[in-house]
Parts: sequence; structure tokens; C-alpha cells
Amino acid sequence: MIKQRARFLLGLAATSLAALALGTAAQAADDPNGWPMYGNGYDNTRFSPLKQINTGNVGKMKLAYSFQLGSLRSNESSPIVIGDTMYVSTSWGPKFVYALDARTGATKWTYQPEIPDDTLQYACCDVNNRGVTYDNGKIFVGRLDGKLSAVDAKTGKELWTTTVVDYKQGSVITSPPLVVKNLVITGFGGGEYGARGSLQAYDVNTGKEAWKTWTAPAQGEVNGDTWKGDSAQHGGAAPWLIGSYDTKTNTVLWGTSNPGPWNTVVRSTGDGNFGKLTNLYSASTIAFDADTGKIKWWVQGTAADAWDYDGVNELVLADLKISGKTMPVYMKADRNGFFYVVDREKGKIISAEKYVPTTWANKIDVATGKADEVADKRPGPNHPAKGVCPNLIGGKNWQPMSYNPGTGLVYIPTNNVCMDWAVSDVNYKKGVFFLGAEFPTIPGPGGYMGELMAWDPVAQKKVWGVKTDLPFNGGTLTTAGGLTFWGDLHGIFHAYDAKNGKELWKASLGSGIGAGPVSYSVDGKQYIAIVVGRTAAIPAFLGDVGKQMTAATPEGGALFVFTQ
Amino acid sequence: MTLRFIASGSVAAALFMGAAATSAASEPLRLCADPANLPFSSAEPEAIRSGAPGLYVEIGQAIAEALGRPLETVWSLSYFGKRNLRTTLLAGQCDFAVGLPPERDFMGPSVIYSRPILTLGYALVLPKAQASTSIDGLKGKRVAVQFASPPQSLLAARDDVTLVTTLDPEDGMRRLAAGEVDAAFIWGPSAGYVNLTVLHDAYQVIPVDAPQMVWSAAIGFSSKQPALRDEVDAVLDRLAPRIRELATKYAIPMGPMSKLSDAGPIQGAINVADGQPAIDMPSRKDVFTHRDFANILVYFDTVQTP
Repeated sequence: MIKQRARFLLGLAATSLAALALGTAAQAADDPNGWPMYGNGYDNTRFSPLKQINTGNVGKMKLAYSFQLGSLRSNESSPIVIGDTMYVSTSWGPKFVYALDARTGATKWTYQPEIPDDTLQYACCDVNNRGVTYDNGKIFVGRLDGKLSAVDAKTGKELWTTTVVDYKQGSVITSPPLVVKNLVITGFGGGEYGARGSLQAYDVNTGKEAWKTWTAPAQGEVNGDTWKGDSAQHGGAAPWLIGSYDTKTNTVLWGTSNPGPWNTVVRSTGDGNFGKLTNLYSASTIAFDADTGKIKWWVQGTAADAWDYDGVNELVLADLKISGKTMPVYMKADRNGFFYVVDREKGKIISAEKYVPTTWANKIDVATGKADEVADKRPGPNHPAKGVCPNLIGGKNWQPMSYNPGTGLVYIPTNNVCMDWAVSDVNYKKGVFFLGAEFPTIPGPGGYMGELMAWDPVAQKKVWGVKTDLPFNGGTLTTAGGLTFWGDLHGIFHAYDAKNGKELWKASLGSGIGAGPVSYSVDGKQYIAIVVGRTAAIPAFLGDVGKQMTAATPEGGALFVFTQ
Repeated sequence: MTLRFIASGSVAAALFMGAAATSAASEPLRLCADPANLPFSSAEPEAIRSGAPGLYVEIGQAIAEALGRPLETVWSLSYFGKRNLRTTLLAGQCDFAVGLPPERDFMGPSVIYSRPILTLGYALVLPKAQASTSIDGLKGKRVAVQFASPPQSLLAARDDVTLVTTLDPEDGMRRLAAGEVDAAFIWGPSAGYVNLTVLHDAYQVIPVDAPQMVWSAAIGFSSKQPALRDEVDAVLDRLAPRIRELATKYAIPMGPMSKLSDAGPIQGAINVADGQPAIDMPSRKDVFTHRDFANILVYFDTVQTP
């Protein structure tokens, strides 16, 4: 009798947990069964504590359901799961956001924002969308047309929409915002096209702007003297990917894009002797006070960037045991080829080591953050650079990595691609001829262009890797079941033993995978979900390599959910 | 998303041709054009009604007429030129695009070109009273330049000129008119057009003959259409006077070019295309009627001014 009653109470607790839809983003993050935000938590570890699906039984994993997204190409969404409801967005705006029964895929509602039909013209790097954000009964949607919308999580009804940026200046929103307390925080893209980056916070209930912090300080502002002339006004440094949040210090962490324009003479000295003209806070990690947006500190990866080494890659927060001491760090697999481990309370680099073939710099000075550059690898006025590794897509691009506290390893979807960088003599843009940069793509050394890499962030070395012929593969998920999940550009979705990289399961899903997988549990059953639908615009920058990328699979747009 | 608009003139032409419409010769010739890119092209009803749909549209009309085919205009935004051409010209959505750089580097062998029909480039815009057109003459001045443009690269290498960076040439002209800058060094066709239609010809617009400042413009076709390219090439000689007239009508900067002898090689330039000297151009006043002028002014008042 007592036993029965206890089971009843337990069941009640579980039910009410799911039914209450879990309140705030912070509360939702505490539910081990859900996947409440893009990277699962504020720490962006993409680690699921669920272990029903594990190394012993993953081989028998079967399809639970699939769902057609109704929108082709560049589907990069990480679904989120709150209670028993999954929210998944599509490409093109997003064209759709769906609320689904997370067990069956049955549609609860569909939200179709009014996206103008000319957005493709202004989106530098495709019509992608990486997901939505939940908080307190609302879903927040960053949009290709530079807007941010709040939608009722129960009904899909739009509650408010605010304009973050004018998309007609080449600035678009492709990533989910970050919700911290009563603020929904977002940036936008457009670094190459004359935008000036900023991070902006809005009231969750009204959409009213609470703060806005420029990430390229103008003349007269602190660090405004790191830009030449008025160049910061169009200097890029846009925080367009995903942010992280450190609850202990109330700090929002966000990476920023490369500076613009490509010609470093305009914003710096045009060579490696750039002195103070480093173009802050481009290609950096910035720590913001969550309440005010005030910049606390920053770590710049690539000073006076000349290679398009965006610094936007996500910050994965963890407490690592380094030299016998537990350190609060962020980890970043920078596009510039170095893996950074940084004290996230002080903003001090602990270590920064090459994780992919990297030729532009020998090493990073841990004390100053400065790169020891290889002189002839920095393209500049009248001297093109050859054999620059990584190429402009970076050692890792936007596709998210994951960190497993059980193995202590980070699972990174890496690229092994190099480039020559030169100035071509003519280009055309909206009625204007101008100088264009050309960057012929060259496969990196070793006969492979992508590698899923298990990286020890303390020892700063590779533990295992799975090499693949193409770059720009999908993000990763790792679980307490000892598993690492990863999809590739051939549309194959793999499960590996997180310890040693042994492949334990795979399935062909029909279109290239860029998104990161997620995991959740409803009614005691664990699921693994992945969105597929390959990129289309990025390959256009990559010549023959790009042709291989698009030839690998057709465009697509679907959600697949697996279970035992 | 490609917007389609069939110019009323071509509808009339198609109707007029009646039974002959089945022959290949009377199939519409489809022009790829940007719906909002004056002075080159505009889909605004007002621009069409006022007889100034844009230089490229009118050149397209002249070519279609010369080939005995009605013109159909396929509108699509060209914010990113190459991407736009991939989904229009190279996808078979339209047959020709006016004003492309005839360089193999531009889009490789997939685009083929007519002979060059225009010389386009950057121009120095100065108050009429000011004589100096050397770079040194800009010393100590505030100069509007476009983001990521060759003039920006050129002037950024000097520390005695204050650059004011704008995203588009129209904004450069606006700043000049507002007294925010002393000169503008911007895309010539836009400067000339705004100067003429909005600023009452208050400025001198001087084309600049310097490395990376002068470009040949041609008509582009898909490499699958060599026969059409040859047909167009065959009528270009005959159309040259008309094209010159149109360039004058839209105030494309012509006439004596400033050599900017002290410009030196542009920082960042590797290979310099020789700028072709501008062809002999008649005076703008000879071809641009007062009526045209009034129409364009009306157009700008209704559409362009805030």
C-alpha cells in the first residue's frame, strides 16, 4: 500500500512537471528530461544526462517518427523540448515554427511569420534558421527579416514583434536568442556587408528594447581607437551565433564576427604591424553584464583579421580540473584553428592550441592573447597569401560541439580546408563594380576535409577522430549513455562510443546534416532527434569543393526522431 | 523570388506582330534587371510612365527592337550580383543582362559577353567652383566613400583625408548636399544621376581614370546562348549612337577624365584592367529634353525623397 502510494505520488510529480510547461528558461534548464534551449543549457554543452539509450543498446535504435518541415535547404535547427512538446523551426525565415507532440510528431500548432520574399537577397550565407528559444510560456523567434517575435507556446499566436535591425543592409537573424531573467537577447549577422555589430536585449513581455551594446566601438568610445578613421561604423564584429550565460557571475558570453571590409588598410595598417589597430571587439569573445549589457572583458582570437576568421563559435561552459584545480572555463573551437580554454570569471586565457592544420600563426601567447603570425600568410595590399589554413570556413564553423563531463572530452565537427587569398580585379554588387577577394579552396593535408574529433580540453590533444571526405558536417550531441551523435554532409547520422569513437549505429537520412542532434525523454522514454537539410549558399564560396558538397545529397528539410 | 513584369511596350509589340508571334524571331527577349537600381533599371510604375525606366532597360529595349523581338523584363534584386545571376540568367529565367563586367574572373566560363558597350567607373564629385581634381587636392577634406569600394581602399592609405563611409552612393550625395562632407568619391553613374535629378546639377561629377576605378560594361549571356550573343554583337555598331544618347540622358559621367596622376597603385590591387577611354559623347543637353528632366524630378520627389 505504501509502495503503491509512493509510486502514485512519483507519477503525479512527473506528470505535473510536464504539464506545467516548466516556467522560466532557467527552471526548464533544470529538467533533465527536456532539451530546453539550443545547447540544452546556458552552458551550451549539448550534454544530455539521459542514459536509457546507451552504448549497450543503441545498435537497436529505431525510428519513432519523422516529420517533413515543408521548407528545403539549410535546415540548421536544434529542436527544443519543453515537457511533452517539441518546438522546431525551419529554414527560410523561418518559414514555419511547429509545436509537435514530442512522442508522436503530431502537430499542435504551426506559426508562419510574415517573412518578405526578398530576404534571400540580403542573407549572405543562406536562408538558415537554427532554432527558437522558450521562456515562461513564450517561444522567441529570431527572423531573417531582422525581426524578433514572441509567440504563445500553447497556441502559436504571435504576441509581439520588434525590429532588431534593417535586413536591407545585409543584416539577418539566423540564430535563436538567449533569454536571461526578463530579457531576450539577440544579435544579427552581416559583418561583410557594412553592418556595425551590436547585441540587443528586449523585455520578454513587451519586446521593448532594454539595452543595446555596440560590439564595434566608435571614435571617442572605449577602444574606439582600435579602428582607423570612421571604419568601426561599418566594421562588422557582429554577434550572430548563439550566446551562453554564466548564472554565477550574471555574465552573458557571445562571440563576434570578423571585421569588415576585407581590405585591412581601411580599418588597420594592412600588414602584421597593426599595433593598437586590432579592430576590437571583432573576432572576439565578449563578456556582457546580463542586466545592463555593459562589456566586462573580452578575449580577441584574431586581431585585425585578414582571413575572415569569425570569432562567433559558441562558448561551452564547464568546470575543468586543470593542474589539480577546478577552474570555471569557457571552451571555444575558434575558426582560426586554435582551441581556447579561458577562465570565464577573469577573461584570462589558460591555454590555446591548434586543433586542426593551421598555418597562419605558430602559436597564441597565453598572457597577451596575441598570435605569433607567419608573415607571408597574412594577405594584404599587393601580396596575396598562399596555403593559408584553415580557410575562411574555419577549423570549425557554426555547427555546435558538445562536452561530456563523463569522458571529459569535447566532440568537435572540424574542417580541414585551406585557401589561397588574393584580390580579384572586378566584382559586381547592386549596380556597382568593386574589388572582390578570391579565396580558392584547397583540401587540407592528409586527404580528408572533415573530421569528427574527440578533444581533451585539459591536455589540449586529440583522443580519437573520424575522418570524412567533405567539410562542413553537422553538430554533435553527447549523452550520459556514453554516446556521441553526429550527422555528416552525406546525410548519414552516426552514433559512436564517446570514449573511443567506435561506431555503434548509423542511418541514412537523405540530405546533408548541419544541425546538432538533441535528446529528451517523455513518459519515461528517451528519444534522439535530428533535423536534416543540407546547406546551399556556403558551397558557392568553395569552388570545386562546394560542388562536391552539393552533389553529395539533394536539398532537404525533415526532422527524424529515434528511440529504443 | 523573381518578379515578372511585361513592359506595356512589349505587349503592344507582341499584339502588333499577331500571327508572326509563333516564329522564333518574335519570342520575347527576356532582360534580367533589378527592379530598384536607378539609373540602371526600375520597375516603379512612375519611372516607366515618366519615360525613364533606366539605362539598362532602355538599352534592352533598343536591342530587342533591333532584333525584331518584343522585350520582356524579368525583375530580380541584385544585392549580390553573382548569386542573382546564378538564379536568373544562368537558370534560364531570362536571356541577357546589361552592364556586366566582361571578365573571365567574374563568373568563369558560364557567362559570355558582348563587346563592351559602356565605360563605367568611380567619380569625384565636387562643388562646381572647385578646380583641383588631384588626390592631393583632397588634403584636409572630408570625403564620402562607399564601404568596400576602390576609392575607400585608395584614400584609406592616406592619413590626410577624413573618410566618411557610406553604404550606398546616394547617401554619399546626400551628405555632400547636406554639407557633411566636402567631396564625394563614389560610383559615377549614381552620382551623375542624383546630381541631375535631385541636386539641380549643382556639382561637377568627374570620372576618374585610375587603377580599379574604370570598368568596361558589356551585355552578359549564359554560355548556352552563343548564337544570341552573336546576334546582339552584330547590331551593337548600329546601336552605338543610341547607347551614347541614353548614357547622356541618364547622366552617366563622361567627358574628360581626371587622371589623378598622384593616385599611384591602389593598395590591394593586384592586376589593373586598363580603363578604356570613354567614347565620344554628345552633350547631355542635346538629348535630354526639358520634359524628360521634369519627369525624372517628379519621379524623385514622389519616390526617392523621404
